[in-house]
Amino acid sequence: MMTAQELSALDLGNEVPLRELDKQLRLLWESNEARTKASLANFAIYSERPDQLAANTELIREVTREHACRALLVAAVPDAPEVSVRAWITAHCQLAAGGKKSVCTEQISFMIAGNSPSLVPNTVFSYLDSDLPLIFWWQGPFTERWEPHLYASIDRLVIDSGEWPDPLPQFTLLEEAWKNAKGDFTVNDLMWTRVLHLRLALASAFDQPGAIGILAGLQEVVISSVEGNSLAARMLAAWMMDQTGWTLESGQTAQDTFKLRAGNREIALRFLKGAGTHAVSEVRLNGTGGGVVLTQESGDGFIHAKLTLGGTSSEVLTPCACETPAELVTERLRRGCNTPRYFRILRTVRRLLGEEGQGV
Amino acid sequence: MVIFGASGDLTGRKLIPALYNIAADGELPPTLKVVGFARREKSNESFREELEEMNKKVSRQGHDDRLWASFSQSIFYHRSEFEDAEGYERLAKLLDDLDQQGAGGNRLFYLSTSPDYFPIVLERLKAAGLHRAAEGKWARVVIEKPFGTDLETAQALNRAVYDTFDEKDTYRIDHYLGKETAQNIMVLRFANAIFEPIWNSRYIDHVQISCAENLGMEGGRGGYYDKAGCLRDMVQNHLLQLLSLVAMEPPTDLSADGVRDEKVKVFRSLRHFKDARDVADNVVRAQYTEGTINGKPAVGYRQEDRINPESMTEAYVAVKISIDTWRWEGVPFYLRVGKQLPKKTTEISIHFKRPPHVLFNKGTEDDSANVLVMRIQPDEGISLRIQSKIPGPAARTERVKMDFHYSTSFGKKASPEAYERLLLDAMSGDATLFARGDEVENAWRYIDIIENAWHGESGQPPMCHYPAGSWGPSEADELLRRDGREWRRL
Repeated sequence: MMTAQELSALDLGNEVPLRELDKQLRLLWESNEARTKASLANFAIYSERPDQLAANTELIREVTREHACRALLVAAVPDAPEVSVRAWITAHCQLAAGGKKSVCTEQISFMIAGNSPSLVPNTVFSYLDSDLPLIFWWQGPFTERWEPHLYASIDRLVIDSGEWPDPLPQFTLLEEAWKNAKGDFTVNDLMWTRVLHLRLALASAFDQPGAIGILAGLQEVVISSVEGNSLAARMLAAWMMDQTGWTLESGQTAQDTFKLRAGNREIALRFLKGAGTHAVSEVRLNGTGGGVVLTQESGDGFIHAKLTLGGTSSEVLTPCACETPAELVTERLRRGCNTPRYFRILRTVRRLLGEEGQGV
Repeated sequence: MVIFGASGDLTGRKLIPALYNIAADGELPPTLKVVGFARREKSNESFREELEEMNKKVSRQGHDDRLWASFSQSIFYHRSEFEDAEGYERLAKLLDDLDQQGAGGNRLFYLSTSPDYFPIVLERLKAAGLHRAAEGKWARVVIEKPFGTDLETAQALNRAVYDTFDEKDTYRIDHYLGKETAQNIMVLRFANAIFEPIWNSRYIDHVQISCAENLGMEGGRGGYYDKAGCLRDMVQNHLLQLLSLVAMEPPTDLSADGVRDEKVKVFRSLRHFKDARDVADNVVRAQYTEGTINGKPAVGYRQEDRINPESMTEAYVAVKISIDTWRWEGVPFYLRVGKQLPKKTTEISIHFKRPPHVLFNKGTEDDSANVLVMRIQPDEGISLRIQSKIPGPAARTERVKMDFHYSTSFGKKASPEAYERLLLDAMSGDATLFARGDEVENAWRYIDIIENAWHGESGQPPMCHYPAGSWGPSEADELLRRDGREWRRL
């Protein structure tokens, strides 16, 4: 639990009694008529690490530059001995219309202590803007507070599977909840977004004339990821398999090495440790008919896709601007989400992580 | 204007602030005098001081000392027992004296006492000759809810009223009808050509009317509430009145009877439940149990102050109502109302049918239906939920809303309190926003069937439970789920 001093040091705005929250929000807007309130979604961030409040406030400030929303920050302390809820309100404003207007979004922050059943949904979801979709970012691994009352209200769930120390049981909880909710929410995994531009770059490389022929002679796929991002590498591999129809032969042939089947051919899939600041630093597709190499250098804002075909080489650049959590979420919210496809790919990811069988 | 039961909460919290704000708007008849009639010993001065304190707290437009000083000179206090005939003789004398001072001779009697006293007050008014005004003047009565506790008592009260006043001089108040958004329902429907053609079973899937309160039995309300219950306290009057405004046919004109004739037709078209089994299938009653609300622990209904620990009174009701008319064939109206829910809000939502998934979102169970929401309180306004394309190469859609807020469009001081409008209407003789005797009786006729099933000899539908601070019992969710629907997120 944070101390009063630590809390007051955070830029959460005015603390308000929960019973007066709506009234205080109204007063907040009435106090400055030059500000225009904008909201196209409810965006809630839930964390069981109260020390994340400051970082999440900064994140909201960045995300709302592009996505106007009602932001709800929730810091939960489930193991606190007594139930209590504190709330703060503030607004984030951006200049619009050439600096003539100040367009603002509101942020409500909650510190929720204690482990009363359904405390989070009952408290927080009372402050949703009713008709707007709820984007809910669950930070960290799922806990017992990830329960049906909570996810029943979610329209778009944001997670970052990259921050889960043990992702396999988390994927199980996620898919069970999704099925339990009858697919009512979409899953937006920031790890999936981390490889978005690699996917785009790889797909673009094969748009070049004759490039598709490389696949017929492909012998090896090598993906290098930096420490802690092996999941990103596996997601990229699983996506490639989903796109091409390759299947995974059961079991690893060596450490981080798998055998793929493409019709009657075999392809080796290897995961290596890479270096740099990007989650995946390099992707190599090697074969008899040529190859493709994707590289992301530290500090470079582009993915370089080098295609070798019939003794000639060409290079295509694809921008890759998503690295920070705010950039990833902003990018994610621009797009729709095909959740059934995500889970289909996830089954392969789970096997690449060592799970036997076909998953849940 | 004579307020019976003037020492009660309603006078200080609603009636006097309403009159004060009408005065602040410059619309109060200058000849109006207000007489508070109650049993407690008070002087004019002490009565005015009490009211001033409360007005400072609750007045919509704030409190201006100079305006109050002028306005309060029109307020008087008259001490009497409600049964005391002599007290009414003295009241008549006081009113005559005020007429001599320029009050004008019209009489508006506001019955804000416990309902038990309504008949005796009416009888004593008649005995004192106060029910008849002088030539060219009028005498009217405004009656607060509850108007009866069932059909039989409502009929008896109507007889007592008709024995004293004509229907045209009787104003049964339902403050929900005085709210701007409730009044706006008819404007929305009949002043905009785009809505009426689709206001029927061909385009509307269902209607939800929700009234959530985030309070329990604070302020000693438990004694009254445990006798009345949610169904009588809220559904019989407020919610059924809102339903009638949504479901009624266009009236031939906006006269009081023109509108009320159409509302009565709706009440008469409500499909009555056949038996206790039918009630159990379509009505959910519940009490809240211990929980957390606004971040604080809350006790269960049976542990509340002045509540019977074995009470079988409902603090939550959800009901599926069918209306047997051509317009509403197959369109259920789901009503829900309850105490200790997570937020305070009242709204009507019209859920239109989903478009066929031939172009977008094929093979998915997405929530793409249009929803028109009329927010009654707080933050009065109207919003329409529509689907919009998500920017980008893929043809994916997401819901967005078009929103109208009264406070934004007309200024935050623009919406008068319901009582302001209703008091002005009663003074000017417009009964459109008040319930007529047959409306009330038909509403009770419907409600009695549910009450009788709940409290009958056998086959009583169960009492369900929900934790305080949650959105009601799971059985209420199931009521819609079995129809393939769900409650709107409030």
